[in-house]
Amino acid sequence: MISSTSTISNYVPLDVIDRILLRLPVNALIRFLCVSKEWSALINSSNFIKKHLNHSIETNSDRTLILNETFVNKLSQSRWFSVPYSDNDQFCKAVQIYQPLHNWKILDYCHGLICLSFYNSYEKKNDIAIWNPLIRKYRKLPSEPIDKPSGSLYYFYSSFGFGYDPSNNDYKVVRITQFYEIVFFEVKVYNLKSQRWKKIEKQWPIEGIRSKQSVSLNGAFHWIVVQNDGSKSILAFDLANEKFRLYRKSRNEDLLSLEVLGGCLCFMGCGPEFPDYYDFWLMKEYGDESSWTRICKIELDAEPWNFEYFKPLLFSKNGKKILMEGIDLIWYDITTKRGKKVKNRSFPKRFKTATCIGSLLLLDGDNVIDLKQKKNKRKRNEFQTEGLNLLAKCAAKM
Amino acid sequence: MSNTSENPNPSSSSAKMTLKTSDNELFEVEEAVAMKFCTVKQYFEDEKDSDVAARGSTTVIPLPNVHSAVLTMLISYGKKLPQSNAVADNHEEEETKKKERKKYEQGLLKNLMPGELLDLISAANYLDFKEGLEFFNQALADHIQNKSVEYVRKFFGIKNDYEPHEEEKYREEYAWAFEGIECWLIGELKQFMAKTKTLDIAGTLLGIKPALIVASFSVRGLNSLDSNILKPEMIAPGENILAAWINAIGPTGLDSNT
Repeated sequence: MISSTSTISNYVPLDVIDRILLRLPVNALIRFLCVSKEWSALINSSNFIKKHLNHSIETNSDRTLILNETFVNKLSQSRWFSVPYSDNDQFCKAVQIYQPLHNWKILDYCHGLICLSFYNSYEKKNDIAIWNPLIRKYRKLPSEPIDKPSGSLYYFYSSFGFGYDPSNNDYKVVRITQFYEIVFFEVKVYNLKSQRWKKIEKQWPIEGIRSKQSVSLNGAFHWIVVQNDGSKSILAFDLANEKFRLYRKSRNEDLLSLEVLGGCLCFMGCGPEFPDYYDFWLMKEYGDESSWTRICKIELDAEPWNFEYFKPLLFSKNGKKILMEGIDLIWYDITTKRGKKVKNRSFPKRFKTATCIGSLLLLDGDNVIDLKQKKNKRKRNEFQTEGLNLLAKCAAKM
Repeated sequence: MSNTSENPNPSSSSAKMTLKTSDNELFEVEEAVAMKFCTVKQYFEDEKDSDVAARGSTTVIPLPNVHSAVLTMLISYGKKLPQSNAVADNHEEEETKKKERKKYEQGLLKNLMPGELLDLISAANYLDFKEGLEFFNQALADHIQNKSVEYVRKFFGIKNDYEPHEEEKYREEYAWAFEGIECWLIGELKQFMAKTKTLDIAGTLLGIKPALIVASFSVRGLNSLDSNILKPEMIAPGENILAAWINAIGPTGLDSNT
C-alpha cells in the first residue's frame, strides 16, 4: 500500500490533517486557508489557533525579532524590520516590513502580538493598536476617555500594559492614569475578545507608579510602585480576579526597572554607591519573595556601555547569555561577564525590539495593506513564463 | 511472545514479540521496541491479565491495518530511539547517539516518497506510536510547508469547494503568502527533469590516474556479432550491481545497502 505522490486519491481524515497543520509556520497556514472550506474553518477555529500557539511556544517556531528604527529625522518615517532567528540564536538578515500606523511605537508584546501606541500631543491622549506582524493583521483600539475625578486637573499621566489572561484565554490592554494633584488612579482594561474597554473600580493601595509601563506575567500586570511609606515595591494586579499583591525585593536595593526574562519576573537594581554596579534579579518561583535570585552583576567600569538603559530581552538557548537591548543589541555572557555587540549589517543603526513567535491571533483583524503588493502581480506572471520555459526544455528532450 | 511473567524485569533484551501484519507477514520484534507501539503494549498488558500460565507458546499480535512494508520502517525507526529501559548514558554518549539518530532520520527522509509518509502516519496513528507520529508528522509538515495550494489539494485528495471568485478573493487578500511558492506544474516538471538524466559522450579521456581496472569477471574482447565492436559497450564502477528494488526492503534486509 505504498503509493506514489501523484496517485493519492483516498480521503485523509481531518484529525490527521489537524496534527500536521499544527506544525506549519503561519504563512503556510494563511495560504492554505483557500485549500477548501473545511480547511478554512479548521484554521480559523479558536481551538486550532490555541493549539497552534501552544505548539509554537513549545518549539519556538517562527521566532522573529521585530525592529523599530528610532532616531530618524522628522522628515522620514521610522522603518520596521523583521529578523527571523534560529534555534541556535543566529540572527538572519533583517527584512523591511510594512507597518500601517506611521510613527507608532512598541509598547509591549506577547504571543506573536505587538501592542503599539502613539501619543497624540495635541489631544493629550494615547492611541493603542494591536498588531500581528507575521500574519499582517492589526486592530486599532477604540478611543476611551479618561474619567477624571472632580476638580479641574490638568496634569495627568497614563501608563499602559499588554498581556495574556490565561483563565479567560484573552489578551488585555490596561491603562492606568495617575493624577498629580491628588492620589487617584483611573484604571481601564480592554479585552481583545469583546473588543471593549471596562473600568476597574478599585482602590489602589499605593502612592504612585514609577514604571513607565507594566510587564505582564502569569495573567497579572506588574508595576514598580511607591507605597505610602515611600518604599518601592512591585505591584501585581491579577486580571482574572482583579486582586492586588505587593512583592518586595530581598535586599535594600533600588528598583530601577522591571522586565520579564525567561518566563520569570526580573528587576534591575543598582549598588548603593550609585553608580558602581547594576544587577539583575529573577523571581525564580513566581509569588515566592524568598526566591529572588541574582543572576548577574555588571560592574560599570568593566563595560563600555551605559547599562542604565539596557533592557534584558531573552536568554540564549543554553541559558548562559542574555540578549540585552540598549543603544545596541548585546549578548551578555553571564559567566565571563563580557558583552558582545550583535553585528548584523542589515540591522538599522538604532532600534527598539519586540520578539514574536508564529501565532494566528488576530486572524479576524484588519489586513495590513502594503501598496507594494501591487508589484507582486507582475511576479506571478514571471512564474508562468518560467513554467513555459521548462515545458519547452522538456519537449526538446523528448 | 517470550513469556517473562515470572521475571518482572522487562529489560531482558532477548524478550521478543511477534507481530502479524495485514499481508500475513510475521515480524519478531524486541519487546523494548514493540512497547513503543502503545496499541501493542495495551494488547500485551491485556493478555498478561488473562490466564497467562496456560499459555505455553508464543502469542502473535495481529495488526490488520498495517502493511509489512510500513511496519518494517516503523520498527527500524523505533530501534533508533533511546530505549526506556536502557542504562542511562553519560552526556557524551547521549550526544553521539543523538547525532547518529539525526543522520539516520535525514537518510530515511531522503529516500521516502511523500505519499509513503501518509501511510506511515496512518499506521503510526493506529499503533499509537507517539515518537514515530511526532517525527513523521513534522516531516510531512516540512514537506508541504512551501507547497502550493494545488499541490496540497492533490496530495490529500481534497476537492476545492470554493467558487473561482471566492478563491481569487483569498489570493488577492493574502497575496503576500503566495509569494515565492512554486506553482504545482513547475514542481512536477522539475521532478520529471530530475529523474531523467542525459549522458554526454565525452570521448576518449587521456591522463586519468589511476587507470580504472575492469573486473576479472567482466566480459572483454570482441563482440561476437560484429567484430568491429569491442566489449564492454558501457561500464560503470562497482561490483555486485543488482537491479532496482523497492525502497522499503533492500536485498540484504539491512537498514542501508551500498
